[in-house]
Amino acid sequence: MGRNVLPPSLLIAREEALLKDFLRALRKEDRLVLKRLLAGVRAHSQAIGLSDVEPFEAILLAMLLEIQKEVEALKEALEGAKKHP
Amino acid sequence: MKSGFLLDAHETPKGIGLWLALDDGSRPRLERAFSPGFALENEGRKTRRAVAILQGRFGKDIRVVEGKGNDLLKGEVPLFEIKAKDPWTFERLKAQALRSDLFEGLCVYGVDTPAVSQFFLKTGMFPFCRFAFKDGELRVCDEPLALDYPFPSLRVLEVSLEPEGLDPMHARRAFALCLRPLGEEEGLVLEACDKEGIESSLRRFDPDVILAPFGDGYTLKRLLALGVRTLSREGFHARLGEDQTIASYGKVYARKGPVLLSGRLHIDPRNSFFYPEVGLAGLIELSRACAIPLQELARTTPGRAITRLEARLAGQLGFLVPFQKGVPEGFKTLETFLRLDKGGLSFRPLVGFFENVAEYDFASMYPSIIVNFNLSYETLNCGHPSCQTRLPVSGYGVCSKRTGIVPFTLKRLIERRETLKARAALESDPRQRQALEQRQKALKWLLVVSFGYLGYRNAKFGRIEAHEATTAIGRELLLFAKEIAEARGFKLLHALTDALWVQKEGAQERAYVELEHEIIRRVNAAFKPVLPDGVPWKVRLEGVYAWVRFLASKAYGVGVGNRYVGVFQDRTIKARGILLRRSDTPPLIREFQEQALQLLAGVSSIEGLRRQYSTLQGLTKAYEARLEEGKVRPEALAVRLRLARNPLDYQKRSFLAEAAQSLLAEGLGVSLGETVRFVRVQDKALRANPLWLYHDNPKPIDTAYYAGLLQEALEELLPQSLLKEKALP
Repeated sequence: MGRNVLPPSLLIAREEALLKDFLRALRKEDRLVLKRLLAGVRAHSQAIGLSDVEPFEAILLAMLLEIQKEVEALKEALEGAKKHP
Repeated sequence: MKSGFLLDAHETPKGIGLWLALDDGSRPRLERAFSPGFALENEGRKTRRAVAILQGRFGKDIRVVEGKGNDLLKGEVPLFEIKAKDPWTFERLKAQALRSDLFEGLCVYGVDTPAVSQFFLKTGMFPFCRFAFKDGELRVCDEPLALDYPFPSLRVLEVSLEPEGLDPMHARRAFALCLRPLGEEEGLVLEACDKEGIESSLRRFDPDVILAPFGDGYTLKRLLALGVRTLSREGFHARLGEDQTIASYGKVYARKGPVLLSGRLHIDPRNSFFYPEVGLAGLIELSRACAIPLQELARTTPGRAITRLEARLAGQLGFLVPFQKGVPEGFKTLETFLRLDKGGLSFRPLVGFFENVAEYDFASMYPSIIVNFNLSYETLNCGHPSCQTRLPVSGYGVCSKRTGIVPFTLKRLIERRETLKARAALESDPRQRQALEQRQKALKWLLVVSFGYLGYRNAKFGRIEAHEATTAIGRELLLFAKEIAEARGFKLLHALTDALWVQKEGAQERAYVELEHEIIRRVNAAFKPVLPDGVPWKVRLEGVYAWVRFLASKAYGVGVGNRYVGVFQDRTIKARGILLRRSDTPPLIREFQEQALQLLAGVSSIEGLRRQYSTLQGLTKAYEARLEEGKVRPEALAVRLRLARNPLDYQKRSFLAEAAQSLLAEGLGVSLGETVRFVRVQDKALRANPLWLYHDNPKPIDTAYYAGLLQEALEELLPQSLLKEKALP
């Protein structure tokens, strides 16, 4: 008995490990960007663990989510700057 | 007619020895003949052959009776009941049968139920039960789960070592003994080799309970070796157990072999899980409920205690208790497996400081799920044609005709605990209140482990499907509550298994209370119990934080579920996962962080926290100065770590390995699972000095290390970065 399915944090770590060679083949500046993207994914580990889609697909969705949040925050800041130059 | 309570029971060669504590102060011993036994389901030729072999080996020492019994799964089954003539024969019988493959493939019941437990079940007796006593006959006038029982009047003697604070197994020095009746200020200090003085003091105090830290590993073994005759009420009668190493949740623990006395109850607080947690009142509560003699209970785990309680209740209901459950995990598709083999839902909190945050907790969430959805090994996919109920999420079938043993047990525990908590809240006498608190906390521990035991392979009434169903429903409940909160405009900051942290700008306490009521109402409407005798779902507003900080992971910068610190509006502090909560944090650092947190307890806003920074910096400097000036006791600097392997098996030169290996070099026994306390010093040859070594030969302490810990403790509460940040909403 006991758990056999990996908990979300280890699931993310496993998917990251699969990307090891991909990361190596990137330029340093690109690699750092991707690592930041991957780090942000951890904020959504509970959703990745709960989803029924493939873990990597859920990870990509979590990345998109973080990017969209940043886009919206930037838009908001831009709007604010336009209103109060 | 006399009356009293049962102090202790133990096996003897002929039956069961009973120590009575009579109300007149006397402590007589009785002996009752008893024939313990077990049963085999009569499955035909193979069973008859096994019975014939046992009869051949044990002859007249056993008696075989054919009969019938109730199996939890199969219903009525034919049986061979095998009764040993006495407990010692039972032990031999059990050992021989279990060592050989005699029982291979057979359905065996009750072979691992101790003779004392069988005696209790048969006679209706249990530890600390009240009885009337006349002409050598006992008449029990008490119930194990009776809520109101008089607290037994016990004479308690503390037997501690002087000097205090040192582990005698890890220090080569002479210790004196301090004998102090509980509740008295002054104790009697005696040389550890003063046999006559110790004997006469024990005779004079005549304690019912001996509370001896390090009693199992050191003190009582030394006293027995010295020939002290009055430890037990029966001369030299003491039962000695073997040292054990056990693994639990990834940690290894060393358990010293117990020293069980006769006629007195020996508790070693250092070798007991329960005693430090729940005290004597909690131990008595569990000893009565689970019918486990107190000396054994003090040294057992909550998991074992609840299994014994379940087994006792199964026996009382007339069911046979299986030795090994014959239900393997059912087949399931990979998709189902991936969907269900998950734990509780654990969000990553939003990192940072937040004001006006409410925390809601589901009260006894997992036990309530087990009760309300009737989750037990015999009720899952029961196969009754009329049982059509399907569980949420997992879709497993569940029995709707009969309550399972696990929910039957847990319902009683949940209700009992609720009553004790309510009484404690109303109690004005501090001693009574403490006893009620200890009793409810003892029950809490049984409830805490009850869920884990559903998935444990050796659990008698566990089953992996029940475990999966529990966590699946738990995740659903938490998401359900989160959705209710979000629909009312609250922002989810964090959610962890059975708790939610939410925030809403400008919300007053009333809004949070209304949310609590709505969650309770809707959860109770949506998650109806399978059987009518369920328990209501309870969600409590734990409180509203004036401020709370969710800390980030050092490695990834995202929030960590169980690292947070905050102050409720009533100034109560709540902290999880920070230095003061860690067992390896030196006491000095813990004291500093507690003091700093007390200073912050009066602050009601993030802006207020910023203003406290310089005060906390001043406090840090004061502690650093104490370190520099050498004004700190070595005990306050001790790092306490547990050995996860034998000292010589460490490949790297860690601080723990250094300290443990230096103990070995001094000829002191230290092994896997034991804790070692050491002081970090400025000595490249031995950077981690075991505490007693430091006492004998102090060296300059590693102030940089301790100053670093002070800074870390400060940063956990009030990071410098907060000064630069704009106040968060």
